[in-house]
Amino acid sequence: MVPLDLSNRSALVTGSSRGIGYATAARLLDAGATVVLNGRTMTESLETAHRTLVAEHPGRVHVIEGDVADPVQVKRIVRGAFDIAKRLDILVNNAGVLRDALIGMISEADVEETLRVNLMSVIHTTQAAARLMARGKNGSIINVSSIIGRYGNRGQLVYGASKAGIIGATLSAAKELAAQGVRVNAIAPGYIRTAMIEHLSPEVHGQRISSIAMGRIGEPRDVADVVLFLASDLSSYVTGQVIGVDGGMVI
Amino acid sequence: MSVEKRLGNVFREVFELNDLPERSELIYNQFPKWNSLGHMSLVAAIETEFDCILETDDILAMSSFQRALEIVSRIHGPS
Repeated sequence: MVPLDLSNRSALVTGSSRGIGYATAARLLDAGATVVLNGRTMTESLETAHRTLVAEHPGRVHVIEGDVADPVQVKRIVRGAFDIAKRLDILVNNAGVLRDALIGMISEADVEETLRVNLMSVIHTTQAAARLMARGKNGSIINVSSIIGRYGNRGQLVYGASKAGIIGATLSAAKELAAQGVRVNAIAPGYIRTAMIEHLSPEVHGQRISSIAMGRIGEPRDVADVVLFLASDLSSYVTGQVIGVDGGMVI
Repeated sequence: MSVEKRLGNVFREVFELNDLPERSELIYNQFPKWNSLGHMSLVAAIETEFDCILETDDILAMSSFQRALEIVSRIHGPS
C-alpha cells in the first residue's frame, strides 16, 4: 500500500462544513478514506458540504451532527462514526470559534463558549476516540491549534489560551496513548483564508500578509495537506509534535 | 457462552493468565498488571468483546472482577 493511501481507513472531522475542516475532509476522501463530517447542527453549509463531497465520493461520506463540546453528544458522535465502518482510525479536532476582544472587554459568555468549543471538545473527543482506536492498536489524532496558541496575539486572550491548551492536551495524550499505537499531533495554522478572517479590514489584511515570509495567505488546502501527512503512515513515527502551517509568519 | 465466561476470557487475555485466579484476587491496583494502564487495556478489551462503550462512571467503578461482571451484565444482559 502507498503510505498516503487511506483506503479502508475511517476518519471523523469535526467542524467540517467549511474552511479547514471541509478542505481536510475532501483531502482525506481523495486519499481513499471513509469520512464522517460533523457540525453542531445541520446547517445549510454542512448540507452543501455533504452533498458536494457525496457527489465526488459516493458511499464514503457520512454526516453526524452534534455539539462536540457536550460530552454526552460526543459519545454518540464518536460511536456513530465508529459504527459506520466498525473502525475509527483518524480523528481531526477542527471545530472552533474565534471571538476577538481586548482585555477588560471580554464577556463571561465568550470565555465559556470559546473554551468549550475550542478546548473542552478536544478533551471529550480524545477520551471517546482513544479507546476505540486502541482496539486496533492504531490511530491518529490531529488537533487544530493555531499560531496564536504558540505566540499569542493582541485581542486574543481567550482564543490564545484555548489554542495553547490544545497543545498541552496534545503533548499529554501523545505520551499516554503511544503505547496503544495511537499518535497525537497538533498543527498550528497561521493566516488562512477562512470565514474567521472575513471581517478583517484591507489594512489589517495587508499587515498580516507583510508578516508572512512567503508573502501570501495560506489556503485551507495547505493545512489539509499537513493533516493528510499526519493521518497517513508517512508519519507513523511522529507523535507529540506541533507543526506550524504558516508560510513563515511572524507574530 | 455466558457473560461471566466471556469476561473471564477477557481478563485472561489482557493480563496474560493461563487460568483465572479466584475472583477475590482480581482487584484493581492489587492484582499484578491491573494498574491504571492495565485498566485501560481491560476496558478496551471489554468494549471490543461486548461491542459497547462504557461510561466514565462505570470505568471508574470497575474495581474488581465482580464489579466488572455486574457492570457488563447490566449493559449487555445476563447472557
